[in-house]
Amino acid sequence: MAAIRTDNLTKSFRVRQPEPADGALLRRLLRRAPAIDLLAVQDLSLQIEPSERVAFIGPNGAGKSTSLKMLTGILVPTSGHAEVAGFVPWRDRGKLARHIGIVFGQRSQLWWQLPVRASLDLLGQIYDVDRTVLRQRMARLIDGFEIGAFIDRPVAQLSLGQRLRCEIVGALIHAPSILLLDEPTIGLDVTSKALLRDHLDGLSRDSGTTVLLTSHDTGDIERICERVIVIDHGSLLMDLPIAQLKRDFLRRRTVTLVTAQETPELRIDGVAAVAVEPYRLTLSVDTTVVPIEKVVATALERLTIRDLSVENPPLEDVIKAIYRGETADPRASKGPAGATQL
Amino acid sequence: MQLSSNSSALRAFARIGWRRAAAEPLATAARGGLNVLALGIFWAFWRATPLAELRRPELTPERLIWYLAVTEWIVFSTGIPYREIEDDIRSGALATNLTRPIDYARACCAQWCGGIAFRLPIFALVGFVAALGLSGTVPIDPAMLLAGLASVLLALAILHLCHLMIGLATIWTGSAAPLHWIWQKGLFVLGGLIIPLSLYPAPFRRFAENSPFAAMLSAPASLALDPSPGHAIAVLRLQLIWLIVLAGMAWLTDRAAIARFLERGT
Repeated sequence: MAAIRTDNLTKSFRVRQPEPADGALLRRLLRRAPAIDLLAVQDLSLQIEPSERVAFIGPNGAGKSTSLKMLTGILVPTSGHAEVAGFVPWRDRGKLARHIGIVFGQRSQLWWQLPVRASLDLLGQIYDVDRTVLRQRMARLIDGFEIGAFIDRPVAQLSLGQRLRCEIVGALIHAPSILLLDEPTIGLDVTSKALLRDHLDGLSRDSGTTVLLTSHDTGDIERICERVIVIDHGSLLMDLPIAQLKRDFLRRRTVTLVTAQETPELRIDGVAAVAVEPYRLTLSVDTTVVPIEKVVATALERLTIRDLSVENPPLEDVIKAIYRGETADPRASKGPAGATQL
Repeated sequence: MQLSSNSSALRAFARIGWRRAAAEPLATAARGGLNVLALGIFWAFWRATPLAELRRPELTPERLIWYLAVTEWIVFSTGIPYREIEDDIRSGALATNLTRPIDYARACCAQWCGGIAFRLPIFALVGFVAALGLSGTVPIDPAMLLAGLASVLLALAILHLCHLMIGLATIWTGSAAPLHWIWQKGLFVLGGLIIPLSLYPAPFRRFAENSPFAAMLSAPASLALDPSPGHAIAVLRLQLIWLIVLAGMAWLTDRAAIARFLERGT
């Protein structure tokens, strides 16, 4: 049985167009504006097997969150069918809740006034987890996600990165077989993102939890997922293994070096200088030719580095490239300094 | 299994309500201070009022201050719980709550029960000590205390059902504040927050006494003015009728509101 399956899932919203402001007040008050149907998701069919780790990506307004809401049962589709862990989400919402864990990056399921430990303990009771099992599981998750240092602090006093790790622990407290993550790293700094990705990657590998992740960050997708589903305008655009996405669309990285040398220079196969400024060198790296680690190691060896950053191509650029039906050629396009285009 | 799961979850939510209420000691202290201040002001007011001219033996400053102590006890123990639902709806937290294995409205009610369990004894202590200190008497027969307590609990249940409906109305109106404002004025005027309904002119009194607002405030407080068993039975009957009616309305509102939310996503 598939962990998640949708057949022609469609959702449209009926909205009323605002009346022009120059109309008579009385007419605007009495007459209802004409309604139009906005199609958010259209005939979405997909299947995700147990233990798969899938990224669900698309630009803003593509229909990701709407789809995720339907899969969690908090939105009823206009037509089509879906099954998650064997349940029809919008019909069996209460039963499904015991089989899925959900993290909305911009919303909290923890109680702000309470210490994290109390919140987790209460979540365990809400999901009716046996006390002994809860204690053991909490100990494992606290250790695994490294939240022990601030477990007794109120949620309101945590940094965003700390809170998101706690949110994920909260979502896993009832040992769900499916974990749904909606922008779990949004707003995090580079270090917190890396830490969270490592934890999620380790968790899904160790426990065999099915992961469905939406993110705007290509780094999340690369690190955690093995398959990518791309949607746009509510329709499935592409369904491909992460290896293929990497090979075809995520092959370029932008490396920015701040150096002690006034006119830095670095010649490596597969690396093109995008911008050369005093004490700063921006490189475009084709990772299919040379791994990023080798570029960094060579730069450290040949130059005196004061600062270094590695950037992934923005998701919007990946989507644009998919639309164009092209695979990225590092020599084909050059964007402005610091930017990466496919 | 489902029943035990639900009761475990409800207990957990009640505990959350208790802990959240306990996490606001300053707010509790401020309410307690306001409670005492209101009782002090109205004690002076009733003593300066020529109540004897009304020729109503039950309307003495001592009984009226206990009437106010009971209505204030109910109001301060309640707070403004509709705001929690309004916040959940407006912030999108309702979506998170709906992904839990427990009905949202029941979870809210359980949480409110926890908050009441924390605040009710505190405000009883504060208000009753103040009323006793001011009036020097307790105008209710100890045998009737149980009926009084039952009446206060019924009043709180009815009040919270109203808050549930007002909060859920946010799904249609986008803001529950205007509806709460109207309801609050109704409670003030028709509920007899400060002045007993028995002082109202006859036609208004009959209307007010049979309204749900009376069942929330005036009815339990009126036991301080008339602590007879016959009046207690009439009070409890009125409250039970309104509890059943409002529970039905709250159930329908909840179903309609959640269905609308699940359809529209907001």
